[in-house]
Amino acid sequence: MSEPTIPTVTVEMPYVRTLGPVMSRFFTGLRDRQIWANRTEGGTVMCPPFEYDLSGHDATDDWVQLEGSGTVSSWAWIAEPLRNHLLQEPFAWALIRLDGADTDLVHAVRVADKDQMRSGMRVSVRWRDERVGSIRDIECFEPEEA
Amino acid sequence: MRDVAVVAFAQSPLVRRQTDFAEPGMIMPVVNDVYEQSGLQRSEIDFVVSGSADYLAGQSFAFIQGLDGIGAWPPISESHVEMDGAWALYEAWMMLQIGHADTALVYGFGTSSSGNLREVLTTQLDPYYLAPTGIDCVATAALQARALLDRTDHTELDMAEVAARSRRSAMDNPHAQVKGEATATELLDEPYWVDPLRRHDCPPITDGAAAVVLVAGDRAKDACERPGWIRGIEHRVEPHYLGTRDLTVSPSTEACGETLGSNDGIEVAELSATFTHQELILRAALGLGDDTDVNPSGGPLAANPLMATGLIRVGEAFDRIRNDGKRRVLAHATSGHCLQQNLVCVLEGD
Amino acid sequence: MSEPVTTMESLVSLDYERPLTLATRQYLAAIRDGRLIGHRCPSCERIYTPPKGYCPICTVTTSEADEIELASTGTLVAFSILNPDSLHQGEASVVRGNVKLDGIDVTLTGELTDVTPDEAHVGIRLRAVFADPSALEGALAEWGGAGISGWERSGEPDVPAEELERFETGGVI
Repeated sequence: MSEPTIPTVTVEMPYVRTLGPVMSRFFTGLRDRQIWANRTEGGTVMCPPFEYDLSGHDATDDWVQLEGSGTVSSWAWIAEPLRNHLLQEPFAWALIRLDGADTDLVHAVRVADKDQMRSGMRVSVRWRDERVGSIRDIECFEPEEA
Repeated sequence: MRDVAVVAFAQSPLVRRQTDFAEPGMIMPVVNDVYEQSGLQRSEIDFVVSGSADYLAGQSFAFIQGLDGIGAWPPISESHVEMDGAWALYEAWMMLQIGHADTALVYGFGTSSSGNLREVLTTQLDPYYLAPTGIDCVATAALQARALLDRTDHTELDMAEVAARSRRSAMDNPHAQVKGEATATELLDEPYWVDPLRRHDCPPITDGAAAVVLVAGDRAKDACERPGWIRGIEHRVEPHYLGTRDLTVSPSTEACGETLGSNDGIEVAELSATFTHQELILRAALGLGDDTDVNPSGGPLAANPLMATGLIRVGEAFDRIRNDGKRRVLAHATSGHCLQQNLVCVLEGD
Repeated sequence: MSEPVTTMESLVSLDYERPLTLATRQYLAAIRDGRLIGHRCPSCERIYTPPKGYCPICTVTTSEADEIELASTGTLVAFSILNPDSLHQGEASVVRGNVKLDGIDVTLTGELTDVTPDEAHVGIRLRAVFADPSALEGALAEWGGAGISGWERSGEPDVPAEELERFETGGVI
């Protein structure tokens, strides 16, 4: 008698979350191809924006629009993407310091080859054609045209 | 402050996949073991607390089913944290400090092998900015590693040395999963997995369980010839979003260490450095001396039963007091991506 | 310019394996042979079916050495009518019953396959409908009676109400 196959189960949890005023502003911006950051009382410009600053300063209603270009602070290479990853071909995760921000954004960088990645390189946003108000409205970042 | 001591510790075999028993069957021998070690009856335990995460097994209320393994009859006073067992130990220690209990059973367990762990741990991330990207725990660790390599003098060889030493140490640990005698240079010949991390920089996937018994006051000496007195235990958490932290340092660990005197006379440190580069960060944060023996058990790189890993660090540190006559040891536990939350515990033997 | 975005949808979807434990494999092997087994705790003698591989009251492990064969016939001692709603996917009401097994203090719960809500009453004699083991979800196999997919009338006359034994809670699912 052969061993039975290992049963599998898929656990699914669908959610709908409300965003609140700060994230609503940010994600509405993404849908409209705009990147907005907010500034704390202490002057820290945060992208993505947060309701409060980590150093205890209140976040303000002071918003700054960013251009969408920045510098890679750190990166990691994915040779074999997982099914939920932003990109489905080999790519780099990156912490990206957008021009004008004081915090890094976590996103993906698409390059033809791992050799093109380095900390300090310049990248700019590529927008997804269909946007809904999600961090995935940014399809990825790509090397800035020289 | 009451004197509270660890008086017993046991761990299950730490293996890639445990399928003979459901989780209660994995927990039961370990809990029975610590009862036997301490000589305490179930009725003499005032409080029970466990640490686990249902998402690992993918069963809601798996932690309730886990109670099948500990003899919860007659009814017991019991609690649970959706955290590593080290935080369950913290809760038990608190209960003893405020006098709600004089004895406690603490256990931690997890079957990481049930699901796709990288996908499961993505659900730990902020659901607005991070989880929708699908970024996983190896990738976040890799971002941290590269930041460390870019901004400090640490090298990939330093990271490989951590792995090589851990695997060699694990050869003396019958419970460990990953062991070997490869040198750091040999390990560096292996290809990258998630550059700059190679497989050896990352922990294995492990199923396992561990348990500890705490006793307050002199009664601890009835339960153990050489108790591990908890001289201090602290935990701190940092902001969640990776882009808002300097990933090359661990201020939460440093704050714990300062309070506990981690730079003072620690003979053995069991650190929950689940990735090699994190050991480098933690050593610096704790101010450990060069003569501190780090992870003689092999640490999480040798076996990483999530939700028990941190508790096992406490137990292994206790064993150095109990079995090897050490006087002052340290255990560290972590939670979340890139050392977001950290717990440090200093134990002393008489 | 359209309305601001105020909500975000997300779907967490995770796949898990449910390897069959030793005790479950023993149980399913018996089901394939048309037998219903349990483990009897060597300490307290409680019977577990499907067997867990341990007794949670005595914290001892159980094994094939503790295997006990159970009758797969029994008597309906209690029942509920499940009407269609969000949990019950079907269109018709079904009867879910507690079946006390013959000769032993074990009660199993299952769906009655050929008793309608109007017909249900305690005392009906039933026999187990064995599930096809290859169709079992491992998770269900641990959680109660999945080796038995339902209960059908055995054809014997009803047990009169006054003869139904009152029994201690000896059997555990």
